[in-house]
Amino acid sequence: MKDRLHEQLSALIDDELAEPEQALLARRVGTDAELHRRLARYQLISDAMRNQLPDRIDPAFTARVQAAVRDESTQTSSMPGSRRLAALLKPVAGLAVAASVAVVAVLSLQSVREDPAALPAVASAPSSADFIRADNTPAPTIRPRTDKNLDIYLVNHNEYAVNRGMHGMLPYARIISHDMSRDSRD
Amino acid sequence: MRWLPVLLLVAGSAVAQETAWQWLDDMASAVQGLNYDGTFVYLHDDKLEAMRIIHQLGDTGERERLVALTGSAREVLRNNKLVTCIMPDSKSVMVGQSRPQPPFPVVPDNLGSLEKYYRIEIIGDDRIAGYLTRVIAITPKDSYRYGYRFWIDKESKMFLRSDLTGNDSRPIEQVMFTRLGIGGPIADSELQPSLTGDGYAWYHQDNSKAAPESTGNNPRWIVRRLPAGFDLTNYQLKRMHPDSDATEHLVYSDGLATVSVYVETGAVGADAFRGLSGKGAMNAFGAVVDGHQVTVVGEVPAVTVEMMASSVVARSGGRHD
Repeated sequence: MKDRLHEQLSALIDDELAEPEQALLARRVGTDAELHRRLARYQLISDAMRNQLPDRIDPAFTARVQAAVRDESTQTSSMPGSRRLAALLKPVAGLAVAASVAVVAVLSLQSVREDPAALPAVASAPSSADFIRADNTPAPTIRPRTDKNLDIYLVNHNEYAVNRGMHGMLPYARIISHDMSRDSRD
Repeated sequence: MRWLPVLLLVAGSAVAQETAWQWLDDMASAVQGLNYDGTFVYLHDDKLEAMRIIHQLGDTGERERLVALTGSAREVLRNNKLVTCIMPDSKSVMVGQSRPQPPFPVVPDNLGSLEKYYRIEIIGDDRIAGYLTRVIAITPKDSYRYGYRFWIDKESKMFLRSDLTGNDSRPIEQVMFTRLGIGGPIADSELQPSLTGDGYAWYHQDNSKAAPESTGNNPRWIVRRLPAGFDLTNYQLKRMHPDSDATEHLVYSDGLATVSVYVETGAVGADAFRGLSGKGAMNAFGAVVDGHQVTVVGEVPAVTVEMMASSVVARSGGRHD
């Protein structure tokens, strides 16, 4: 049931929820504090992804966005819904990315979060005068979905390589190496 | 009598190769069986990174800690099969089981077959990080596979440097120790992570939810153009994500190099992966065949993954949708 609601929230943010369902969901959000917090979080992430945040934001706000993105990206992996939102979230969550996606893959190809109940606080008003321009925050790099799949394939393949023992720790060195991808796609 | 020189030459070559393989076999045992603590540089794609490795074989098995010394201080800890990766840049910790790693059988049963495609020899001595080493070269006889060079400590048989080489024998990836302590006791504190992971998102592998792997049926796809010596060594139907369609995984190997072919059973989306990509010595080539995403991945030259990806076809009479 909760997954269904989360899926509807995601569709709402993506403007893909039918009007009758919107009304029902709005009533539900009005009476469910957890759902309300989740909607605020989805909206926050969505705004950040679409560069719709205000020109001037405080650093704590940026940290809250990052925390929300991180949290959601772990949960969406095991959630049936939120596909579009998830597609937006995942590249940001792993901005250093290829490696972290790869590591998830090397470990299991499937992950669950240890404590899904612990949700980051979001959407409190800026309280500090120490503002920075939003322009100065690093822009998220949206990479194609195929990059994520490719990382998973690269790491999965390592598990089968006949000669992997030759290099001892090299497969792990590749994983913790930084910014090592290269492309020459069609 | 006139054949004697030829016989001696052939026998001599075989002995030399067996000796070279023995060096590699000893090296593989040393990598897994010795205590060591060292710093190495990792060169790839014109990038140079430094890492520290601490390895211990104790009463409870193998323990290892690998730390990136340049860039973000990422760490990998391995306690036998349990692997923990700490990524400060994404504030995440991943814990899981690695697949069991068989000891590297450096002296393979099909040595004769390998000799058709590789030349394996001792090419000299060198000094690395203060150690006297013997250099073993594995050189491919065609352009469809990479070569390898290992600098092996004459005493401990630990490797001090390894190069993965392209067709022109120039290194594509290099690992070289700049400092290495071998054989001493390893303090337990050295195998502890320097980061606590407090405040990080923790991910745990959940084996109970792992996608089932199936090896029962024949693959529904085949690769028509394979480099000589490559045979199908493994086939599985598996789910790469909890919410994805199953993927066929075909593994081809010539006994040394390995190439994976992944064919997604679901229809390909608008973001299909086409063309060449890769990391370090790993190359990948994406193609769409009959509406399915095909991805070929291997520690082989780009020409090999491209040739294989371009020749994937559905088996006649087999279902593929």
